Amino acid sequence: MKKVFALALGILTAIGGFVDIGDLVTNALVGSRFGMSLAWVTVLGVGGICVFAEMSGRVVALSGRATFDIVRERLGPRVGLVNLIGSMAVTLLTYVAEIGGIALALELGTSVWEFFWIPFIAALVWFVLWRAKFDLIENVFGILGLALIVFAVALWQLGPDWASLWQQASTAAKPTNEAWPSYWYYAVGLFGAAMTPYEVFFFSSGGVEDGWTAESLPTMRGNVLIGFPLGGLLSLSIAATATVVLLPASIQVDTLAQVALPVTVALGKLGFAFALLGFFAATFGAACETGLSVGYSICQYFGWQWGKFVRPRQAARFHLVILLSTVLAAAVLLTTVDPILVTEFSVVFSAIALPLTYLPILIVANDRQYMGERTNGRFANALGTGYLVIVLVASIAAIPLMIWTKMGTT
Amino acid sequence: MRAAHEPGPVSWRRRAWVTSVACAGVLAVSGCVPASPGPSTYEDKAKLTVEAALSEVATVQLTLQQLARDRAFKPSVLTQLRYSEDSLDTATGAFDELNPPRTDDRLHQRTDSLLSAAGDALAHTRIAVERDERQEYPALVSDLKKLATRLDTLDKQVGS
Repeated sequence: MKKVFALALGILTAIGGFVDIGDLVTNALVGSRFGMSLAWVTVLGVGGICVFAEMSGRVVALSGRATFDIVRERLGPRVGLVNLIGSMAVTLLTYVAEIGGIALALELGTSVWEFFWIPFIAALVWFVLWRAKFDLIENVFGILGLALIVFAVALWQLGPDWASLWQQASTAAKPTNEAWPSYWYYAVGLFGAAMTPYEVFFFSSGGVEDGWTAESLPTMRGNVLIGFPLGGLLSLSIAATATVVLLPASIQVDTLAQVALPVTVALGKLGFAFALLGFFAATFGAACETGLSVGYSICQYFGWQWGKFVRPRQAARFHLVILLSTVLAAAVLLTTVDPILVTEFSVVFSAIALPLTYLPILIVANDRQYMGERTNGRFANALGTGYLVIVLVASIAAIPLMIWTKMGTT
Repeated sequence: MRAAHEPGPVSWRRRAWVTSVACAGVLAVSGCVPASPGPSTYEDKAKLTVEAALSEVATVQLTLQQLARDRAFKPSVLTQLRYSEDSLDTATGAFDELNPPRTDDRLHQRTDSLLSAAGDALAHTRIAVERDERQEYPALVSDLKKLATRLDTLDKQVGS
């Protein structure tokens, strides 16, 4: 019974914790411009995150060590440093975007200027990361994030032409007024949003925090293979509501209020309140995850004590790294940079950094020294290699597409 | 042994430095001069600006419609209005900086007049919402709808 409860809780938090500011903005933006024609990218991205999260979860369960703890040992300090710098730059950018996302959600509920909230939010995020227990952070925001199911309810309430939505999704035909370079630019962005590097840092280090062993493998697989795809359905619901309400009205998403507008149209004030709660939980949960990920990765590389499973005093450097990155994120946002713009940059730069994150996982998951008999099988390797090729193509194409399309504006 | 007049490594470095500064200067100065695009570029910019304005007007119309039916919270509507006005100002400002080609004078006038009407409509809406003038909402929604139709028509004409 305890195992069933753990599995159910894990799946629920995986669903609620799947969506972050990058998913919210990118899915709504893509739905409002391209309809459901890019739904295949979300499906592809969710498949990718499932493949690599399962691999990194397996590494943790069998070796008792986080994947990136092993990367430096297995690939050497130089390769490890390249991996650390690339991934950390993107994770910090995502951290900035998530804290900005919380500010936008609060502004939407209060009409108080977003920049006023930033110092308070940064302090609160840091306090939660310092004081709150790991499973509390993981479960509370994951469960509250389930409020985003309101997008699926809104879609059903809007009564869309399901055949038309399916036709757009299955034929991947872009609207005639949109150009192909922009289509591919947003495809890369959507892929980056679905496979954000911090997700595997957090998942892998979180496994150590939760004390996973070989016996935890079925629960871990349940979380990944059921929770993540259901979380992906939330992403698709956000895109679909934007397709039904915003696309016909020629509304292009550049604010969080526009992301919630279809829910307001469908369900009124109550629906909006749920959407707002979902935005807050999703961005706050993701801010905690990215903040912890920065601390995890830096401390694992330098071999410092890390984690929430020890008292803050025993992992002082870990908490100092989190504090400094939180101050940096707040400072960036206080320059009055638009958090939505930061989000757009973060998903594209995520796509660029993807190979740095996923290649080491594939290498470690094939290493008998750490994995014993449970190294990747042929199927897992075929999937992993296939995804690595896609990740590489997305990474190479991201910058040229960003320049060519002027960040998707042409 | 090098001849006295032959440029040494230091003078090459100096020349490279002066060239870089000159290039940066030219780029900076050219960035300050209002752009004078050709007809095709100008029409593309006009189309993008009209699309941005249409997006903001349609957003405000839909949002106000929900508020009029008591299906939206005032703080969130005010927040959206603030963002829409800011976005419209940015788009209008960028377009106004362009010098229209002679052949596009009519497009310039039409776009300018619609952008100005959009700015006025959003400002009126903000004031009405701030003052809670609910009786004004239906007329404002209707005005925004008409404006959105005009912007959409211009967008299609520029694109064709």
